[in-house]
Amino acid sequence: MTEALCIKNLNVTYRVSQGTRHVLRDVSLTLKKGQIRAIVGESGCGKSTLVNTIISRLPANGRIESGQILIDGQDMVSLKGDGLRRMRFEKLGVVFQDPFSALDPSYTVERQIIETVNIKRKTDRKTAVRMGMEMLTACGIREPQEIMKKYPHELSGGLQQRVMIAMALINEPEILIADEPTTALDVTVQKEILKLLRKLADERQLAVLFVTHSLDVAAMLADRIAVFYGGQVVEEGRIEDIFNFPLHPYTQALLKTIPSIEYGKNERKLMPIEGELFSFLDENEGCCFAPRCPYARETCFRVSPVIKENMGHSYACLLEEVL
Amino acid sequence: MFKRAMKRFVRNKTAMTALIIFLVLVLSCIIFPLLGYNDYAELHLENQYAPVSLRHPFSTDNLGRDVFSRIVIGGRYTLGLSFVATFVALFFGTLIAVVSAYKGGWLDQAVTGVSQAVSAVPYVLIVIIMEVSLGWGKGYYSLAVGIANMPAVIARVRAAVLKVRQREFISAARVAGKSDLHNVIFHVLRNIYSTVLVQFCASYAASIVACSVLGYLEIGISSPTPEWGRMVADNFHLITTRGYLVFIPCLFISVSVLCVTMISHGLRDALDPKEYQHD
Amino acid sequence: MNKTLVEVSNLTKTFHSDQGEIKALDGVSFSVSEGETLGVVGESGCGKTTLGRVLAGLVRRDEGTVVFADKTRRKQIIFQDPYNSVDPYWTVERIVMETCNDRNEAIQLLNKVGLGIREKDSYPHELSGGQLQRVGIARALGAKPDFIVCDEPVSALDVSYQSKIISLLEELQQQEHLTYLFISHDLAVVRHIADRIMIMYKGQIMEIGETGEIIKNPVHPYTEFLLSAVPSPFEKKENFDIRDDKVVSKGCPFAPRCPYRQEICLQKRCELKMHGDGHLVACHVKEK
Repeated sequence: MTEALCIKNLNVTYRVSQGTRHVLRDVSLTLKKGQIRAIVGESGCGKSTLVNTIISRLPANGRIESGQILIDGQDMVSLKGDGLRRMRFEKLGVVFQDPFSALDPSYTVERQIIETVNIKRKTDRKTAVRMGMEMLTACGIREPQEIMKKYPHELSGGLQQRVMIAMALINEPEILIADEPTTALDVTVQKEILKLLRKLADERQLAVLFVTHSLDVAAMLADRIAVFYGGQVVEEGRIEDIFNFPLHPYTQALLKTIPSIEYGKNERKLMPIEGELFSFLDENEGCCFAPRCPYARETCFRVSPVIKENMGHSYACLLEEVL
Repeated sequence: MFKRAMKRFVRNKTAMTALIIFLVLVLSCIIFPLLGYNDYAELHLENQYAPVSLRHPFSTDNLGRDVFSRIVIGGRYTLGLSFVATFVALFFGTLIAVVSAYKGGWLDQAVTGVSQAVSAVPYVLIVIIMEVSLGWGKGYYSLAVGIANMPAVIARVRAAVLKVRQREFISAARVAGKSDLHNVIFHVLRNIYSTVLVQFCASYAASIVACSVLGYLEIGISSPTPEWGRMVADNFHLITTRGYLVFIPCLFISVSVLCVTMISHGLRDALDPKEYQHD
Repeated sequence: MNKTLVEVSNLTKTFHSDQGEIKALDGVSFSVSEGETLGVVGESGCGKTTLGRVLAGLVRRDEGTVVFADKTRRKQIIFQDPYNSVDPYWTVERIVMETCNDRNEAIQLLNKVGLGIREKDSYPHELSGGQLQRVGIARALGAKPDFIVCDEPVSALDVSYQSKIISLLEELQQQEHLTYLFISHDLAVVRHIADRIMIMYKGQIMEIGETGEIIKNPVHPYTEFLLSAVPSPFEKKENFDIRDDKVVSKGCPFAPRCPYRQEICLQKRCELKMHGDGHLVACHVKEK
């Protein structure tokens, strides 16, 4: 398997009235073809910034300080203008959380699909429609002909999201970036969409970067999970490792704080994580989780942890053994 | 929070400049007539087109009347009557919109229907009807301009109220047994005041234009009472020979409308509720 | 069994829209005992929010009755979106005082929900979602309620705030002897907090019973379907294949998608029937 996406030491800052906020710190990630990688974190952890950086849609006050985003060996950070645009629509497909606002309400699905096809190549309407139908079918839509004629508001949330996925994939990108694609959907629909993403990744050797706030959803779908906190990857590894042997205190705390369908009332006490979410407001030295960490020592507040790796399971913590 | 909005407004240079110019304008209209620039009606045919001097800063017109006096006195009418019109539009418009949008149902439908019907009638027609029924040239036309402005106010305020009404703190207050009056006074009005304030300035700008146009059409204030629009019309036949007589009142109309519009934009930016919402 | 606090019978609510009628509640009957937490679970559009609003007195019912044990019982509601449920122009203290009308009591209530003196003069935009949800809870408590409708109180929050709010609700239930109607789409959260679960689909109750019983031994096909979709890292549940037939059902609302469907399901509405101790199911096929 070859690497489709490789992010190396990415640093991103936002200029705000109080100074600069370091929102992505030394983020390194790789994504292989046919692999689904989940990025899990709470709001403000930097996961949306990562997505926006990859699709080069950072807000005006955002800046890539250093690092590389390699897609097929080519660095996106150094690209500009047309080159960047071509790279974006040829290699990347994006699906957002809210399919309804991502689709134009005044055009039919067919019209929007044809337009998307035409970004990459000029084709006649017939070919574009045929391609659209095939893609909709591949995305598990049973009556593509009917759906093509409809307006977005006439479709259910699940169908809208399928249409979005079809549109994201119609130009055959190598990488699909899915930013919380199931958060707005019901669990039963969510499951269908997750199954679809798995199928597409397997069949098309598609690399999927799946951003979510839920460890459980990530576990259902992904091959590997990267846990984000304070703009950093605090832990990264295979699903089984993350759930069975979490090494970073944040991941451990997170697992203890989520209610589980396995345990009923009074069978398991939830252990809340004390303190407020990391705010980026003050440029602090040391580990970003230290203020909330039950194991934090004095050094944790001074020294930034380096990433330690063992058998494909890495974590960023100063402490030798936390269990 | 109001302080923060004020601060933002003060920092907005365009809006602040507009506010200062407008205040100077208003104060001039109040003060200068008291200082003797109040001889607007008397004819001094021997003193046509007098040279610019301290006594006649803007010279005199074809009937020898001091243009500056006419401008400042005219300002009292134009700006004052437009203010009355705006106040009428905002006060009654807001009242109607809040009650109907909060209550909803048939009342809301009726109000929306009527206000749409009113907005379809040209305001000149409303003015003529009011003038005919209440008497010509007594400034009643400002009430008519107010009524003509009302549909726009009602539409804006109504939209704002509907937005607030469906928010859940209203539901919470209702579960707690609070009356509709409590909700309207403490929640709805508090949440729509920025809309109302911005709408006030927007309506004021529109009213100044409307009153001037009515003056120009000789529907509003009648001669010799100066009114900016009226002054333009009076001197229009001299536009090629004595252009300044047309130009000066036009300038005052434009500047005041521009200033009020700028102030309204500044207020909108300063009061933008997005600033208050958590991101 | 504890005393019954609320008895709901045959509740019906229909919304009229341009597309036609939507039966948000269709003959819903159940009761809530004093001091318990009844979880209401279902997908969006199943009527669970409408049910909460009818019980809180925010929406008028078309038919049916809601009877409280005695007239003095007070009800309150906690909303999903903490930002939407507080007035952005009010300070925290004033928000709480809307129900309790007393400054000292408001401060006490704020302490009780884990907010300090520091937060009492803050405006909502200065607080996090978790803190605002606490303000919402304090406001509800200010009315000294016996019964609180919790309408997805943790769905809009980050996971690290979720567990805090859940724990807070549990503590308050103990201290104040509260009864909850806990509405959520998240079965894991409901599993954690509820004594009993009620599964709803298209305005009707499909199954109701003890939480553990429902999760471990679901009877209704819809409950099975819902459980099979819950994301969980522990075991991959076997697939539950539903169908999606374009048939109109005059009977069970789930019939068009139900894999066990029989002719009677489309024809006749199934009433809730006893399936075990306090376990009621509305299904023709799985009848005992």
